[in-house]
Amino acid sequence: MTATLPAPVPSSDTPPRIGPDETSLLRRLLAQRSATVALAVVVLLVLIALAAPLIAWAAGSSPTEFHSDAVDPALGGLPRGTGGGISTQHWLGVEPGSGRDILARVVYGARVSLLIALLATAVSVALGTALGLAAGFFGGWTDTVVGRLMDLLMSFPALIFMIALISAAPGVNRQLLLVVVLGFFGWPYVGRIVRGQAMVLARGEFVAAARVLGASRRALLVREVLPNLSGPVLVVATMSIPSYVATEAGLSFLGVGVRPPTPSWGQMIAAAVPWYAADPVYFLIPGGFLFATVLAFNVLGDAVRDALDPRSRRR
Amino acid sequence: MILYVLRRLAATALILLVICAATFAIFYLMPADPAQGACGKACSPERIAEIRTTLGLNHSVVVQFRDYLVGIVAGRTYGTGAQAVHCPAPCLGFSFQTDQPVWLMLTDRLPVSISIALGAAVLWLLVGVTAGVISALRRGSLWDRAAMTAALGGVSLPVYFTALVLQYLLVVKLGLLPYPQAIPLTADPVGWVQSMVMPWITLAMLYAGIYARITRGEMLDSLGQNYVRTARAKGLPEPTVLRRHALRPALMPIVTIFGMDLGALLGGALITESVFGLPGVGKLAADAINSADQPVILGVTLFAAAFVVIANVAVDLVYALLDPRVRAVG
Repeated sequence: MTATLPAPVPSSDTPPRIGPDETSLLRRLLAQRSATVALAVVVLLVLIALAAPLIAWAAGSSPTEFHSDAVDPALGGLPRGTGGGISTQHWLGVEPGSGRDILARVVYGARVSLLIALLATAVSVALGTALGLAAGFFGGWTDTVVGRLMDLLMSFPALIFMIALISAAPGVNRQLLLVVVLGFFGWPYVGRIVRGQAMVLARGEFVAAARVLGASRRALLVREVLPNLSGPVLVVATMSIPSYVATEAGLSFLGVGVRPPTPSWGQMIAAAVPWYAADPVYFLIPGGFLFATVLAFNVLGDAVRDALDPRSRRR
Repeated sequence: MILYVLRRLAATALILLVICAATFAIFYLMPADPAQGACGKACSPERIAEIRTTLGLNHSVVVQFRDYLVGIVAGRTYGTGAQAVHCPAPCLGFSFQTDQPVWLMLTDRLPVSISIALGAAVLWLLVGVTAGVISALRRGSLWDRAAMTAALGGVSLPVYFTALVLQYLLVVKLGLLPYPQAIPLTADPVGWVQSMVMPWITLAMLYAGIYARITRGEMLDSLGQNYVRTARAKGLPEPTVLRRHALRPALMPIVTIFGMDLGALLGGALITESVFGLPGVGKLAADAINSADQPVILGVTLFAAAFVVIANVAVDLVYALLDPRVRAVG
């Protein structure tokens, strides 16, 4: 066998770039009507969350201010007027009993909901990418340990376990704890995908070439493998946001999520349960916001996957 | 095959032990005092000290954990003398708030959870898989788009929201159904169905959406395979091709997630049971959380984990029976 140097020109077997090309990704998303609508809803929700104090100020109410004049004590604290107390003063009505403004609470709830979901996604993506990359790239015992850990975490009854964990820690900042717990139980889903991709990439010829050129292991990981993982990671991150939104709301609904008086959609729906028959507007509004948020992120997640994963696009 | 089964069972026992240890650690290393929880808010320091002794909280964590594991196998007695409380095996702890062994509370509530889980499972499998298959066969059609939109909507609906909307419409507004109650199937079949139908629909809306999406994707995958083309080329009638060559491999992943979903639901549909006020295992967990009844929360967590883990093994064993390759690799 004669020793030949690798051809200097990039051959056809350089891996196709599977990372997202931002401009083309956005263009591909905007080509689909459903994705465009979903993206618009998501942007709107983010704006609402960011502008929550402004919106509440414009509506003339704060999320924690009581309005005893808006509820009727003779009717057990039901909002005065129709439709859950919708009026020019309270655009989405008021909470029965306390008379707190629902619009103000819902927009502040959007903050909590999105912030926790995004931070939890960041935690799970960071953990999942780091551990999945290590497992897939190094193989051997690293792979065995990380793989077993992922299997174990994914076979946990996560919801009940999260509840147990959160309810057992009374003095801790709930929002922070939610982020940590959601991220911790979520990372194996990212790790599993990153691990598989990293295994394939580690065997790629471009990695072998870099190794021959004397690149250190760290350089191989950071400069060769990691950039090629951005596509799959973006897909799994987008798709995990709605499940974090839903889980946070579910936990808050069960009383182990965001603590009052900080408003959260799940907590508002829980508070609406005793009133649902007399004042359905009270649960329909936070429920509607929650549904719209989860749906929009789900549609967007599907669209991002279709745009980046050629296999699913054929479907 | 026997070796494979044994190996899987050993791994399962290990996972359960780890879950047990992790759950235990959470409860006994966290700041909340179980003695305080057992006794309630107005409780004298002497009484708390007494309960600490009874529960064995004065021992080290390792000893407590050992006692707990021994209790599961052989049962245990809390306290001594006239105040001793016996908790027969399998003892998952004793709830001093309700004066009952946790195991008894769990098994009391299990029939309700089983009724909810099985009924919902039948509904979502029928609706979800059928919708997914039709969508795959008529890809791009109006049906496909409508079904997939509905599926995405179903996936995005929080169960407590669905539950409230259903109860508001069907019970409060239209008066079609009574408020759900825990009625045993054997006592009153009609009442049982009437009580269960809303929880079934609530859960089925979520899961049918998930299953329709997966079924469609898997069907499209298998329809594109060479063996389907071969089957068609050799002149098999289309229904046979679809049933035997396209649908069958498409159902394999469905079996996997079905096992896990059913396992999780049997361990308590926490939110659904709470909203409808049905006393299943999930409602038990929710109530225990509200009253800080730690032995019950610990017990439910383990119980639910056992269901998930056992469902995983069941799925693996079914796979091994269906597909010899799994045995060789596993």
